[in-house]
Amino acid sequence: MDVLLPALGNVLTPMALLTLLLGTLAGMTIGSLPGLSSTMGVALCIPITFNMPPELALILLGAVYVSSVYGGSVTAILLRTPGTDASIATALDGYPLATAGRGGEALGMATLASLFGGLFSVVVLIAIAPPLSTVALAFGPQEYTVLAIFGLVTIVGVASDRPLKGVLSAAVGLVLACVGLDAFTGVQRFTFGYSELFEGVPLLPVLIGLFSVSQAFNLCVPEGGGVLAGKGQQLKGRRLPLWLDIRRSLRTLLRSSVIGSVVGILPGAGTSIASFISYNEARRHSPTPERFGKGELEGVAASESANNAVTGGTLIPTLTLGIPGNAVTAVFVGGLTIHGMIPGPSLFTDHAETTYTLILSLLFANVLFAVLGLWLCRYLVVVTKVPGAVLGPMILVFSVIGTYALRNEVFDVWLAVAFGVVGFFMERWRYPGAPLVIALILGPILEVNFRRSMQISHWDLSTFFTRPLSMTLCLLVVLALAYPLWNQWRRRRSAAH
Amino acid sequence: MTLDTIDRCVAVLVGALCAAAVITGLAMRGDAGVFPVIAGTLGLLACAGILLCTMRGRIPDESPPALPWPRFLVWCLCVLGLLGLMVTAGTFVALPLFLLASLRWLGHLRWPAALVIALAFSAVIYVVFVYLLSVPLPAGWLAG
Repeated sequence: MDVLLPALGNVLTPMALLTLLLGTLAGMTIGSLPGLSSTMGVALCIPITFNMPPELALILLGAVYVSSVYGGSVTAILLRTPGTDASIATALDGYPLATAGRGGEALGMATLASLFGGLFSVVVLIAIAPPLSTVALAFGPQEYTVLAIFGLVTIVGVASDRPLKGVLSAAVGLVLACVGLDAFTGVQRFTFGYSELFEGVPLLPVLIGLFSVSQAFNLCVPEGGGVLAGKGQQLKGRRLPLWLDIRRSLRTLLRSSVIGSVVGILPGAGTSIASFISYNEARRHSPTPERFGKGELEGVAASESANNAVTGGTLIPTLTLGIPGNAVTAVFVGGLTIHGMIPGPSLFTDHAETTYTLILSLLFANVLFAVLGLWLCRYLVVVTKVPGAVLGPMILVFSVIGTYALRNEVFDVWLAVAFGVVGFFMERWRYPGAPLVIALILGPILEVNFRRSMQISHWDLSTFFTRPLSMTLCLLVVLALAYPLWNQWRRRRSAAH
Repeated sequence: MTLDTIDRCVAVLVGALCAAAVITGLAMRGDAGVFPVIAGTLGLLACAGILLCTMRGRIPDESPPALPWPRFLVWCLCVLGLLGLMVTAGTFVALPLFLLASLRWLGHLRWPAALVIALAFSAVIYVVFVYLLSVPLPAGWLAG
């Protein structure tokens, strides 16, 4: 408490509040634009912080980080163009709600869920950061392998009503994840001599292509197309979710926030895994699972609370052990180091006031983006009324320029457009795109950790069943596979009776 | 073409690609080919499953929504033009032309409205990416 009060004083100065506001607005904008990720947002802000006092610098970086994760949900819901992979699961139910004229409700639920998840993870960060980070250290290659398999099984289950098509999409993603120089032997795999592919198929152009560029095609190609096409261009429903809907989602919000915080602590696990696992859990526990994927507010709540809970979770190993869990926290470590703060246990002793200023500023940033989001959603939702042939070219331009901005490579732009065409036909032919992207993210994690496990165990597959954590995760995989089959069998049996 | 026929074609095509990945993986040095073989095999199994499902025909077959080919081709030409012009003539020549063409021919906006939107949106892109984010967008012969 003797550190928290001075830290609170640091956050409540007018300059700090202004920095917080600007950081939140910048983060929301960056998160909502395809191609501009949280990592890029934080990285772009680091040079701005050079001449700032450390407290203000960390407030700015923290605000950009948490609000950019939230920002991705806005375009994911209204236009089905997720700004980051964290929002792919949000689009599954958010976009059908927007097409039904209920974009305001979906945005409102996403905002409240993001606030809930964000606040929950910050409380976890303040309360139990050090013991939780030791659990993360107990994760070895075996656990990461099974966790990646669990993520893949989950996404295949949730993304499509035809699981075989989801499996095929995931398999293509895994094959694409093999492209590039092999990390262990240096062998070139499926690069066809293109130097741009030596580091593998870049993730963001594929993500932007499959979701944003294909959506530009979907809006532009049909005559009279648009988000609200076929609904007489009417916005209906409420601007905010009903209290009843919020109360119905409370259990989902809590469960997803726990999942998000725990997954966030695991280095490399990422926001997309947390969102999909939470989405799957929400559907599994729902009395109306058949409504998921067709416009269910609880689906939006699950995904959004989980991906925002990851933000605090990822900072736990970063701040307590100096181990960045993902790209954005790695950039964050750079920002801390520039201001003379070496991440690790000393951060909570030598720089306790500044560290707690950052943690408290995350709380305020979460509240601020929620206030701004709830206020703005009534205006943002109007974008769904714009005709598709006007919206489509704009989405395509943002996608093309955003893709180019990632690495300044025209190759990436061609890749995004090619995947856009593939995504357009995948949707028409009912092949889900999400398993492909998630497999591309999880593929390298799965391969590296599987091969490490095999090297450690001399190719003994029982290594996955001899460690308690790994065994527990294996059981979760079996449950994730068996539960839908059991459910299907039960439904058939009751139908037969 | 019905969805079942499309699924069969996709299964054969992707199955061939997965088989190629498996064969190439088997020929790789050390354990570099293990993962391509696993991923390719998973793909082959999924393709086989899809082929079996479509042949058993347990799910009623249907056709995908009709594709308006003229609009699709015009849009593809616009996109190809944008990418081609971005590299040769420069981003800020390509962007307004692409927007103008697609808003006029696909959105059926009047010329003045299309022109205003195209120029205003290009200006927004310039401010966000070039001025605020300092992204070196392709300048084409404008740079010369």
